[in-house]
Amino acid sequence: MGDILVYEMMNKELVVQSGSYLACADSVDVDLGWQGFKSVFAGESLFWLSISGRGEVLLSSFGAIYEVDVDGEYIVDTGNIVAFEKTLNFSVGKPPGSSWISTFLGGEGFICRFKGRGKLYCQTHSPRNFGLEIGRKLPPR
Amino acid sequence: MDYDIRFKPAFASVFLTLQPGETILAEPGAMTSMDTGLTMTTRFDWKGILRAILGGESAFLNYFKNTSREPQTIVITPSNIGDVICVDINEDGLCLQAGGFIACTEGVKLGLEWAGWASFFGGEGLFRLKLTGRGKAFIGCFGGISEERIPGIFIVDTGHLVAYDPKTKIRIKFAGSIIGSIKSGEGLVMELSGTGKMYLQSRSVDGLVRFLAPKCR
Repeated sequence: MGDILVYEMMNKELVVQSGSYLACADSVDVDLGWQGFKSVFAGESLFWLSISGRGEVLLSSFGAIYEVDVDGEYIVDTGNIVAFEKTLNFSVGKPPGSSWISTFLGGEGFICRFKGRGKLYCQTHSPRNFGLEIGRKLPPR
Repeated sequence: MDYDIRFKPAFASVFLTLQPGETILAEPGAMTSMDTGLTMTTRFDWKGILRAILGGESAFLNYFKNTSREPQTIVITPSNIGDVICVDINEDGLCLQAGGFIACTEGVKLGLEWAGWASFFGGEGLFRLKLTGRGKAFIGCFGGISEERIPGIFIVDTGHLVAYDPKTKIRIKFAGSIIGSIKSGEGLVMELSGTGKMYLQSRSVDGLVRFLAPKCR
């Protein structure tokens, strides 16, 4: 439920959260990527798609997609990452200024800190937060 | 503080720019992304616990402060999908239904007020959140939001009222006769009386739950 982004591949490499991949032109290579065990803490699936080549890539999201031009550092909540260019690196941590206890009590949990230079695509809404909101009202399975 | 609410009305999200030293308070989990010059602190007070138990809100609030020397941006999104509006809060206050609060500026006080048994039977809880003080607050809803003035008396289906003037009186009643109300599926409605403002949401979460529940297996 949400937006679809058309990303024009130009011999760059894009790392895509596996749930966000929708389709691509046949001149584009889709590979299974590995971002390390930190992905588990990032609230994302363990495997990422590594996309390269030339042509269009369609990405879907929950909510709208917005683009962030990262030059230096940027923080994204886990569960809101759609895709990012390979020139960016991320580490998992807590929001600046907070302690671990307050981070979890405050409901933010882990965050991803992106470093480098490149484009980052985020989705506005978090499937997990929406699920928590609706899920507790649904009958148990 | 500058703000821009983008992707209205389906997936509204608040894009804020905080000047050095400025702070924004947000409900837990609302931060989607931000610049690294913002620091987050989580606070709660005894009123927070009361708000959680009685008002259906979280006991904690996250404070995002710009501790750098340059403007910093932050994106704040409610957990529900729908529209978001920014309202000016003054000493007259504004009452909110559970779950409507997303974020506010520092001058806004979050209090709790007795809502009455009528509210309880309408499925909204015995207490309600009341915003007072001075500043701006961001309110989220499920579906579209409309701002109207109560024309003396107005009937709203339960689950569609988001916020209202604290001077408004609320009664719960059956939509028609008792049998007719049950048969028509309308059940209980809220009767608002007053002349203040009200904010209504086009969809109700309970409606979505009723739609999804039979499909969950």
